[in-house]
Amino acid sequence: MRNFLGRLVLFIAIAGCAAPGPTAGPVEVRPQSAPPTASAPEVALPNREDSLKFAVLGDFGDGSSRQYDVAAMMVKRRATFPFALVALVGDNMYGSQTPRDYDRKFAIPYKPLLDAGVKFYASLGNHDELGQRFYEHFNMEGKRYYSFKAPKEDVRFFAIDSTYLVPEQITWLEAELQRSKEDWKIAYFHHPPYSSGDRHGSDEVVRKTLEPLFVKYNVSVVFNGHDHFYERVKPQQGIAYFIVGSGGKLRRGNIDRGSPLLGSGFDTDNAFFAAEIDGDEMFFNAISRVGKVVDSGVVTRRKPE
Amino acid sequence: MRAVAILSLCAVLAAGAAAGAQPPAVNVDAQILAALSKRIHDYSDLHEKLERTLPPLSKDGPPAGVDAHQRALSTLLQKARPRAEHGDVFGPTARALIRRLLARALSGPDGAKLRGVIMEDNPGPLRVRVNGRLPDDAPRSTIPTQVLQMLPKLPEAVEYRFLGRRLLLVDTHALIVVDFVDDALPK
Repeated sequence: MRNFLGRLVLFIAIAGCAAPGPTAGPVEVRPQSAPPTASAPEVALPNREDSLKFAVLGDFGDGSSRQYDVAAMMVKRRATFPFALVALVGDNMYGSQTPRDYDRKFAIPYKPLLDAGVKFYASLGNHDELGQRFYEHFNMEGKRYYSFKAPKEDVRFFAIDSTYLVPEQITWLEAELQRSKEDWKIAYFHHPPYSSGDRHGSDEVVRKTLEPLFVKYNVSVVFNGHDHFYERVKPQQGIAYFIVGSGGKLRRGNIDRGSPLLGSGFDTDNAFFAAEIDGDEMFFNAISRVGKVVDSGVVTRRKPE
Repeated sequence: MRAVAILSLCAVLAAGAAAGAQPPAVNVDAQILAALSKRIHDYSDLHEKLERTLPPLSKDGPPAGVDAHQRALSTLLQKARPRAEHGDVFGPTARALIRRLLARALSGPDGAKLRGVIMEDNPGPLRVRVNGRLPDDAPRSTIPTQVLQMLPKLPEAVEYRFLGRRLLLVDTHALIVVDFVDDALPK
């Protein structure tokens, strides 16, 4: 009981008394207006020595040749762009999840990256069993939701379980976002608050639950999956949203090209996302299964106005 | 802690029922909820007691270790509850209460959206049995915060899932079905 009262007082102190600081202005996104072409080349990743280089991958763990192809392309790209970590936006494994499946659907295709010391940080999608929390290569330490500071630059990632948004998770997220003093706050989870997908589309319930916290606490970038394609959503509420649900699964032709949300989309092949944060800028490339850069640009983080 | 949680839920129920001007029903629902919470926590206590007899589960181990732990714990729980059956946790009055709570959660202006979230990618009415392992291939149905906060708060050992309109109480470490409520979601 005393423990509970102590936590109650702490919660009130966090939620009610401590000022969150000024809400920052919107992100600025400078994209390619269309997929890179010979006349409008991609925005190259600067590949600076001390920057944070990372990748994002989602909806991949089906053991298909497409998943293996994307994994091989990630390995190939890493040879010249040495990303240190991969944020997984869920559906890390489809179907059965026996120890053999962990090998076939994860450890084998990404073995070169694991061997090179790349760390994968998983969030759980609706196809992911809870045992994944304890998997050595997912770095979840038994938790359904967690945050971690990136090894370089002033960046904190927040991995959320959007399939089971218990009120305690929302309380945790608010406290964690408030406590975070990093310049860059990046959230990732499975269900997209905004999506131009015909199959799933925007998850308005998740949006209503999480977005007010992202706005209030200056989250600059959100990564999601669930819809099986790549999409850069036009900034919403000052936040840059990306969908990277194309790491193995593909829902070909599923993007509604008339959607007012659509910044850029790619739904004709699988893809992963590579990014580099250097100071206030995040350079990004969406890279297809065959190595083509299908979207690129620069996001400038939210800063106090 | 548990007492406070139950009291809080009772207060929520009382407030909700008071709006309907049915004071006698308030106490009945609160009693049902308190009894249900006790049964859930009794299960959780058993889970924790049995899990302590197993080698600690590594938080960053190989999948074979996680799988072995799940299966060992499920065996222990099944042996400890050999006659467990449908209704042990969710008795008739608790089932009726859960249905009312969910109907209330889905009756607001966002009700259709909330229901849509639960039913999207919902694996449907697969066959399950108390003490049985969850179907291996079934995705987790999404449960929005707005629905979870209407249901009794659960200890870490268990969670809610939907299979079709059926609400399951699932052991989160053993992945077995503790009990369920048929037709929990309104049609």
